[in-house]
Amino acid sequence: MKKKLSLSQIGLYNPQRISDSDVEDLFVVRTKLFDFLIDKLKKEKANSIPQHYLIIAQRGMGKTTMLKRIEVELRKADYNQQYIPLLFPEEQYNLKNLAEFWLNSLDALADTLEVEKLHQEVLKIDIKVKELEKIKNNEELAGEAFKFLKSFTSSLARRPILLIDNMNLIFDRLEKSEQHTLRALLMQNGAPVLIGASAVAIEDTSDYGAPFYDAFQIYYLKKLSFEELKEILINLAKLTQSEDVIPLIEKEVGRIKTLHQLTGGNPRTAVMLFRLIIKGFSTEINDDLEALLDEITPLYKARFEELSIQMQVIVDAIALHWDPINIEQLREASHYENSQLSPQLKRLVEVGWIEKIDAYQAKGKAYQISERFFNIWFLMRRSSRRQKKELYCLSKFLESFYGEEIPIVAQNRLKSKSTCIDHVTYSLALAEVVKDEKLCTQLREKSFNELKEFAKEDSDIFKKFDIPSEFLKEEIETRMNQIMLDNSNKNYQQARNLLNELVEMTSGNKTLNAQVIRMMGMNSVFIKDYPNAEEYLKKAIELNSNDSYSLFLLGFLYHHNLNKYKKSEEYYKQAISLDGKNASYWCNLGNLYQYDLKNNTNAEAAYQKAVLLDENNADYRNALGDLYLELEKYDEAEKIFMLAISIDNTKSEYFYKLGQLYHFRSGNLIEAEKQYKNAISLDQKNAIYWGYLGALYQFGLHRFEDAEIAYKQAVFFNPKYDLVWFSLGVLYQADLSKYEEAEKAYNQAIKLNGMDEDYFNALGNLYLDNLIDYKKAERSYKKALVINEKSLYPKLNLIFLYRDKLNRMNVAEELFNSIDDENDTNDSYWLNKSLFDLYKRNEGNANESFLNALSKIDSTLPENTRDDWWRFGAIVTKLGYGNWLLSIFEEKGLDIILSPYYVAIKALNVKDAEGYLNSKAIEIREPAMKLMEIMKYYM
Amino acid sequence: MKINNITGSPVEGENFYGREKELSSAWSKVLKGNSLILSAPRRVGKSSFAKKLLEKAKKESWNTLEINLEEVSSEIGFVNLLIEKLQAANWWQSSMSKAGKLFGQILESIKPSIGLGEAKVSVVWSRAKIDVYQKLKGLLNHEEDTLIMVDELTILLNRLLKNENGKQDVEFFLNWLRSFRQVSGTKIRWVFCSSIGIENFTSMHNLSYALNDVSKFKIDEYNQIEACKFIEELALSEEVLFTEEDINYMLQLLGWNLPYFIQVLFSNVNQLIQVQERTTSIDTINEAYIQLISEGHLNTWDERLNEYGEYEIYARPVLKNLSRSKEGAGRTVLFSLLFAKINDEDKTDIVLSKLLQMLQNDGYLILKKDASYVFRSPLLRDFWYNRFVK
Repeated sequence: MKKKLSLSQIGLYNPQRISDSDVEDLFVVRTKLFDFLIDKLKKEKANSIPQHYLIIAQRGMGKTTMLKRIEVELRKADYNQQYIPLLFPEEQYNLKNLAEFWLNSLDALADTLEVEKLHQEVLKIDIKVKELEKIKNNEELAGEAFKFLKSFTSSLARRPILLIDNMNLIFDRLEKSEQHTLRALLMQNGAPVLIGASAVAIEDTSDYGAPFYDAFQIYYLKKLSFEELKEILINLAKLTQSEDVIPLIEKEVGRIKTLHQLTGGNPRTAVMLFRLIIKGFSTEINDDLEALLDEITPLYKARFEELSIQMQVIVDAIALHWDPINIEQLREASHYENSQLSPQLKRLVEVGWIEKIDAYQAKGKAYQISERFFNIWFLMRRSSRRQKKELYCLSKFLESFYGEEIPIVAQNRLKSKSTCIDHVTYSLALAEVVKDEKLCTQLREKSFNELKEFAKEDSDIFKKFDIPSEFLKEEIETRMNQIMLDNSNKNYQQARNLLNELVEMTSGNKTLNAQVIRMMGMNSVFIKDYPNAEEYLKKAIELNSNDSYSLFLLGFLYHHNLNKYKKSEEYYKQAISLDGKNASYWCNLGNLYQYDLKNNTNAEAAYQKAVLLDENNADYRNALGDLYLELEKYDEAEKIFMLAISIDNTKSEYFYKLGQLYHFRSGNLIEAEKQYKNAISLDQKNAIYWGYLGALYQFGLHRFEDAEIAYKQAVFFNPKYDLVWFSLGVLYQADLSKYEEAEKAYNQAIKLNGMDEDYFNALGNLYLDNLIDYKKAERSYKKALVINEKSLYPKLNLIFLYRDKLNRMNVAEELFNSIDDENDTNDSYWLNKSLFDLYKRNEGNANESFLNALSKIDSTLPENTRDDWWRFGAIVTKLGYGNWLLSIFEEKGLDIILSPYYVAIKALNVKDAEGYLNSKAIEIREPAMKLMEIMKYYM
Repeated sequence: MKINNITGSPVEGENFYGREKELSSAWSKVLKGNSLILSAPRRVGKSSFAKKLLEKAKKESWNTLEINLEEVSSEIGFVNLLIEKLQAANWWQSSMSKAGKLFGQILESIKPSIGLGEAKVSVVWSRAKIDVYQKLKGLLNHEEDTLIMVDELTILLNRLLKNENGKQDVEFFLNWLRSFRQVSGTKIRWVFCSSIGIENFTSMHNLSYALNDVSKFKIDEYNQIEACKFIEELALSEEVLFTEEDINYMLQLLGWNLPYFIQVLFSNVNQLIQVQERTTSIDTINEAYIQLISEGHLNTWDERLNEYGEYEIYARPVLKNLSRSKEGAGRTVLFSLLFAKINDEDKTDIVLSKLLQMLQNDGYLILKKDASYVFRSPLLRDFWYNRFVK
């Protein structure tokens, strides 16, 4: 009885593991070629110049097995007196030159003699090799090694037959001169016969200039035919004493044909599949496929990794495509240009990795993976499962493989639980080919539910699989809720992570997906990633062009974050075109027109539309109110704000604006106070409100103590409110005569904002007029001028200081002359000019200048230059021109119009000031007395 | 007679078929005192022919010596090889006593080559060289009819060129060989074979004079009868039955009756019959032929034209044209073809001359007796036709 061969002994990758008899037994196809080659060897005469051979075939096609078979044959009694086979190891990584080639031959010789138990001979070889290895010169070493080989085998009277796998490696490593030498040696009488094998065509055999040009008779091991494949399988069944499988093989013709097609007629792959077959074509798909994949992975992985990186990229692209891919598609997929692709493709075709076929409806050729089973394996092992192609190709495989048993297989699948992702993949692939709709639905549902379970541990599942969103309602909702919570807590990154999952989960539902992507856009805005926000929103629009909200949001982004106003307008309008009843859209459009596009007409129309659409929304009215303020339509503004308040009286802003309206526009100061107070009552900590209330008290109602309280509240709630500090300073200086407090307040304002020249100017005035510290005054004015050298008031004040206090006339004059004539519209300028004229005793010019000054004012002295008038009056009196001034007043009737001022000046110029003042009515006397006191300071 | 279908190596003995007339002609020249250069592209059968000539000479009791310079990479190597060959030659044994001393001296001179670095070797050699060569000359007896075959001469010469004083070394070597032939009344004849053109080499290096005393002997295709008989013999040896129609069809496909291509086609057909179990038929012959001209390695001939640089655009139309016809075309036709492109007579002439030289050197074309240029390989011709013309 023949010895049983175990499955493991069927050496898939290393035929050299198998015994001679097993080799012979296993060798069932390609016998004709084998016989042919042996026959050729037999025809070699003893001392002939030999013919050499080359076998070319893709990996797994049986080259190594063929060489092994020849070796085994030549060791038999019929031949071993005549020949001695020297089988080289498959990998000869040490080989660098011809010397090593011959040394390897001697190794192979020793191995053969060892097998034949000719130990003495082996010893001789070992001794000789040690001797040879002492030779330093490679050429000499090669020569000696070859001579020894020849003489030794001659002594055995056996002709060496060199059986060399990976012959291409030899050629790659031997230099041309060595190849010449090798050829010369192999062309001698009685030379060894070389039978080489290679997975690739060897260019050195087809290069006209190469030593080995056309030196070999070449035989190609082509794909096994279907019959040959069947023969292998039957033979394997016999050898492994699994004859019961033979009827199965005969019966399952369809399945075997599928295997044949998928394996590309590759014997090695077919042998691997035998293991599957021997277990029976179970209807347990998991086991079948897993067994198959486990079996095949080491080989396929090794084959793939042998390729260069470039080739791997190309094979990857072709495999992923599944169907034949043309060069255009390949270029896009691989990102390689044609010049990079062409040589690699050629090589891949040559070695049998890919097939070239005519492209469908495109010029040129298309490429596909030759071994379809490799393609399936490759796709299944790829990390992403989403590719429909993977399921498609797996489905087709299953359909062919299981044939009519698909429903049974599917039923079995339904009953068993998936313990890993692969199982789910199989279920989904089965669902694609099951004809029974109910069964198909059940399989899919089962798969999706299982995937949901897996996703709890690995959320990447959503990326890998297209689970319909209707299966994920609960999961989607949970995430949506969490996202809202995260947003409100400003946990934007967490929200983003969930959004990423949602994107995958909703990929099958365009509308839902669009919504999620829109949320991604908003999330990007929250984290201030505006470019991405734009991308997401555009994508959301692309997915669902009927979503007005996405359009609106994009408009909003352009409006508020990207400052692209025209684009913003475009998108707002698009949103409105889809949902014209959305008041918010109109209001935002109104904002855009008013503040950015400066088109108040359109803004008004937009706001009005918003108000019309949503009468109960106070904000829209508020917006319209702001516009009316800008348009100085105060009555309309007042009405609108009051309406806004009537709708929503909890918004302090409305009261505040109303307060502003009364304060600055209509002059209804009492109402203004009321509204400011209302605003404050709703928002007590609002420093602005307090500030304006303070201003109202100070400048409007002259309730200086109240003003102080209000200002102090303002800076209490906002200590950095520099403007209020300044206002407080003014209050202290001008109204409350608390000069030290004024100094503190001004300094605080300056500390908070050291770039406002007005603050320095005011401080300068305080020092000049009230604290009488001329140095500090000068410093302050100069600082104001450093901030703004063209600032007029500090300059004029400095002139006052130099001319009237420090007696530095020249400096004062120089400064005065530096004032740009274009700015001489100011009354203070003319007052100063007049004073310069008076200092020069030039009454005429002084007169003219003073009249110019008067022409710049109306019936009251301007608030901001009032102090200049007091100074002017004082200096004029000091210079002795008091009467001159008084006469001009009288002439112009200003003694009546500006009576307190006139009276103050006169009081300074009469002998009995008290008597004179008492002669005046109290309403004139009291302010005049105050003024007089002030002016005395200036004197 | 059984012929073993050897395609990659030189054939001898029974495996050499035909060429009776050429052999006779060559032998006649040799008898008249001529030395010969067998000049032809690769795979024409030069080495085999030369071996046959040696066989003939041996039969006529001449001394013969066969030296294959392909395995030699230096002059010292050549010396070693020559000595080795002489020592192995039976006819030389008798001279051994006379030359034994000489051998010793020669070997002594080149002994330092062992174990020394390259630089020292060359220094030692350059001193000993002249003396060694002189002594080598003394090893051969000009009084005895001797035929010496030197194969792959140009390979050695190209290797010598790479030496520091390469040109001088080459010149020296050729002159040394020539000096043998110059000996008055010498009965030593030489047959030189080279797959890489000797004439091109000597011409390129201004050494044509060194071989101008050697007659060129051309080897061409079989005539039709010879070719048919050859196939018959091959078929007989392989126990395959071809009809006359089959044989004629094979020859018709090839269009050029070189033994090599006949053998290659036969080998393929034989494989289909023996291994793939086809029947002998025109279809099988077609299948074998199509296989040959579809083989991937022929693509390299196309790719190799990229190395022609600016000449590629001229090479392609020339090859396309020649692929259309088994008879090839003469220079005039090719000139007209290129002139249409170049439109300048002088330039066309220069380009065409250079191009034809390149294409011949690289194995694309050969120049036939009737001065027409044809594809050297009919397989290549048909491959080219299918790829670029059809």
